[in-house]
Amino acid sequence: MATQQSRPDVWAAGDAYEPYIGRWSRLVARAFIAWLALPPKQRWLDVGCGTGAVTQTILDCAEAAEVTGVDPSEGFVAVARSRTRDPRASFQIGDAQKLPLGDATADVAVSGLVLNFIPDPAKAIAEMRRVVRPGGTVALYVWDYAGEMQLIRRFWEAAIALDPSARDLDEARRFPICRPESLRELLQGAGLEHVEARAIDVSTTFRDFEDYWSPFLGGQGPAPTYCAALSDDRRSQLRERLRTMLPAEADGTIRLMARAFAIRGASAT
Amino acid sequence: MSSMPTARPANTVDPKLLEILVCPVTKGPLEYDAARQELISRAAKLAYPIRDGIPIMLADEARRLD
Repeated sequence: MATQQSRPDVWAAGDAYEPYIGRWSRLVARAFIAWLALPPKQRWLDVGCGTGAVTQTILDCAEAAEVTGVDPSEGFVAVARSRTRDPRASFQIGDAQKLPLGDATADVAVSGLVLNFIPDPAKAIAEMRRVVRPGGTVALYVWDYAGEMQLIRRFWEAAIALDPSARDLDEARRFPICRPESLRELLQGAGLEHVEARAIDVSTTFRDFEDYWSPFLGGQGPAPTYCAALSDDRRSQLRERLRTMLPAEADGTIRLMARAFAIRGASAT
Repeated sequence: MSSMPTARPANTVDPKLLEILVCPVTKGPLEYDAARQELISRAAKLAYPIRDGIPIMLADEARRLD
């Protein structure tokens, strides 16, 4: 934990997030919204909206009445806002653990790839539950860091082989909450009903090794933050190790998969 | 400036958002000060700034009221 505190994760500049996680997050968001299968004209809240991958998917796919995005990062929200002129979307800067929204002001509160970065996830779930109306939906998804979120898993496998202390930064170790049973306990503990979980798998296909590697140089998120702190020599070693271990096809294409765990529950009526 | 008549000017806050926002500390009501571009929580004695039309609803970023 000491390492984590002395080297906090950096999540601020929206443009670096897109090539790293945003492009894959969008694919998961689409499957997630489809799974929720909620009726049109709902008031949606996107907690930890970041650069707006989930907000935009809701606008595109869910026939929403309105979508409010909340995130603590002004940099991310500026990107989210610049990407949409949809009058149904609005954004604010706020903390998931202290949502600045009135009780029962939304029909559905969602959160994509955020929960594990919140210091007190139970508080965030309680807040999501508070702001949805009775009978409303609380739903979220997180990466399967310990299993099939392969682009990050492979990174840490290579990093830890070269530097065992990298283990302390590995999301698989830091975020045991990213497992279906932990998520289920959390939602049930918040008093949500009809709790259901599922895995969402998406293909993450990289044109070549550079397409895989260069997003790790953007400094956004735990793995890129670790990468940025390495000396040039150590970073080159890591890069070469990854290059040899990743399954490249004849034309250089690297096909991996990414799994997210999604969970949903209903606020009691 | 705007080619889409439905879009708001970039520096104004969405009126719908003002209806649902509360003070994150007290969950009490907010007053909108359009001239100063602030949302005021009397109970918490805090004024939350609105920057580029985006309310900054963090106590750490708020101006303390005497």
